[in-house]
Amino acid sequence: MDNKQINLEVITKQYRKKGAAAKGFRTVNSLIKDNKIVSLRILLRDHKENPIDSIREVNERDNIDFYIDYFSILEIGLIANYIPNPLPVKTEREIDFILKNEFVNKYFTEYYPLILPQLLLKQISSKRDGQYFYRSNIKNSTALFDRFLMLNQIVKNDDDIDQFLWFLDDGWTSGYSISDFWEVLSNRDIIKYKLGSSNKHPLNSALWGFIKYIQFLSDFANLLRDSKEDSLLQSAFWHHQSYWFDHMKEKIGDIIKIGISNIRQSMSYISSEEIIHDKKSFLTSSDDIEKWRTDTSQLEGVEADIKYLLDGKLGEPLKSFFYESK
Amino acid sequence: MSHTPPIFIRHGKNSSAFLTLDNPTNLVIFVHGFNGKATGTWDEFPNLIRNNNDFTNSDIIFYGYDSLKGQANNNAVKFYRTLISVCESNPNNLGFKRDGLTANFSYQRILIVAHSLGAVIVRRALLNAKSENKPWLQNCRMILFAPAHRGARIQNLVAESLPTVGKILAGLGFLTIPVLDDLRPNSQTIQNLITDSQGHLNQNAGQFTIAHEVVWANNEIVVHNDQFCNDPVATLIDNKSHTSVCKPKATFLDPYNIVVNAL
Repeated sequence: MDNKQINLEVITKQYRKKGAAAKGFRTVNSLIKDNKIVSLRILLRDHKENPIDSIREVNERDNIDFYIDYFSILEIGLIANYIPNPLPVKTEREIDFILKNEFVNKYFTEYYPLILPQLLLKQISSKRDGQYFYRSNIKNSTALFDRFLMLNQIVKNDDDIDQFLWFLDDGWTSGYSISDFWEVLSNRDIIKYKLGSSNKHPLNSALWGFIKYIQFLSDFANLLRDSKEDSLLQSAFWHHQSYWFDHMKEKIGDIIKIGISNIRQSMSYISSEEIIHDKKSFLTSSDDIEKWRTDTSQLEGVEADIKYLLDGKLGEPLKSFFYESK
Repeated sequence: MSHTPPIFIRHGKNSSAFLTLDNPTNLVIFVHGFNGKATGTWDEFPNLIRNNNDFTNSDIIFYGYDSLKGQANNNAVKFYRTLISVCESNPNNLGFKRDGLTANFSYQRILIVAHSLGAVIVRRALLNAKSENKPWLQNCRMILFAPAHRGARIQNLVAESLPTVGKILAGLGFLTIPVLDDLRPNSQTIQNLITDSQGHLNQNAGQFTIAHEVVWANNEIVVHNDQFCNDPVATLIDNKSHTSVCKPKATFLDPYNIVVNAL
């Protein structure tokens, strides 16, 4: 078996054959095969027209999102020269069968547009002989794709990040919302009162998620910067997060506008004595605090990373590739 | 290419395995430090491993754990459970089938490479293995980069390891990070680690507590560079800091060569 086939085998095992994606596949596949058109149409509706209220539906749609994500990852893998081009016939048949279905297709083209699976379907559908497209060997593309997979794993597999993004996406947990969270960041007394020492409190979890997500954004920005020699691959990586960087642009921008400014506010009101007597703070002397204030005065790096990621120009090369492809 | 792409395994948190396409004889496990990432801490290591032939007989695991939330000894117990699982079951269970692996397979060499807090986690996990008489313990070898096993300067650790937002929130007392107490030089965790290791050494049963190689950064300001029990004299690397000493690059292959030479 050659290396690209091994890569495809491992990716398929992880992103398609287990966990939520496998459940998503089973749901969609059986609804299509059993010709349960009405059920499929209802399940994959636009939430703006008819909200998704039941937990069962939320879970099933989540599973299907994971399954569709597998197709996005395949497309990025093709662009990175990481997996066989063309794909094996069996994989092509599955792509054709699932993504061409009227209701599945509407889901990722009209209601929640994702360019990566659209591109994959287009390439499969218009294939004649040989490869879908030709790409010369790109320096470091394997290492970049490995990094992408590992970063993707971090952001998808962290309960704290989930909680923070759930708030950011207007979700509520135990009566708390994003506005409670932003308030917490600006008022030290509130956080002490609300959180106590419970790491399981949703606001505490979101606080950790906030820190971890900012770290993720910084790591993701560095991945994109390191991919600049291959603007198409860079753009494909960016599109994988386009729900947040494009559709939720303003919400992500709130991290700077509200989150960071509230933290600044917290810092300016706090007295050294209060910090020194706080057993939860690692700062134990005035010198510590002075150094800490100097060390943390630069938040520009965070802001620069977020502004960079929210620049829609990073999405353009893949869009052009989509419109230019056969 | 000698290894699989990253396989996300169920052990720890966001741990990745790069499994050799050949039949393995060695297992190499990387364990990050405070606020490290399973692979991020090690920078070019995954890439170098996949693109060179030095690890063709080695399965590689980049072990991840939530270093900010758990106590050091809790994470040590989790790591110990991972060791039991990967050392006492067929490596094909990690997610890629090699045909030549028999049912009673075991790794001949288990090389554990740890950075900073990772050294505390690994040492305690191996002490746990000793207390349960695990036979694979005799095949284990440790390489420790900038180990925190003699404690750390907490202010510098936070300053160097947390992102700016994390540093601010930790300073404001918004976050509880129990492992910071564990890493103070006089903490119960560090003192017990030394006492328990010395106890085994005094009974001539502590070979496993002696690191194969210890690597210190010359520009170290985070951990205390003191010898741990009977460890060998450290390798001192110039112009490297606490965080950069374990990160190989095209112009700095020392960490990579140290690991290769220990196989």
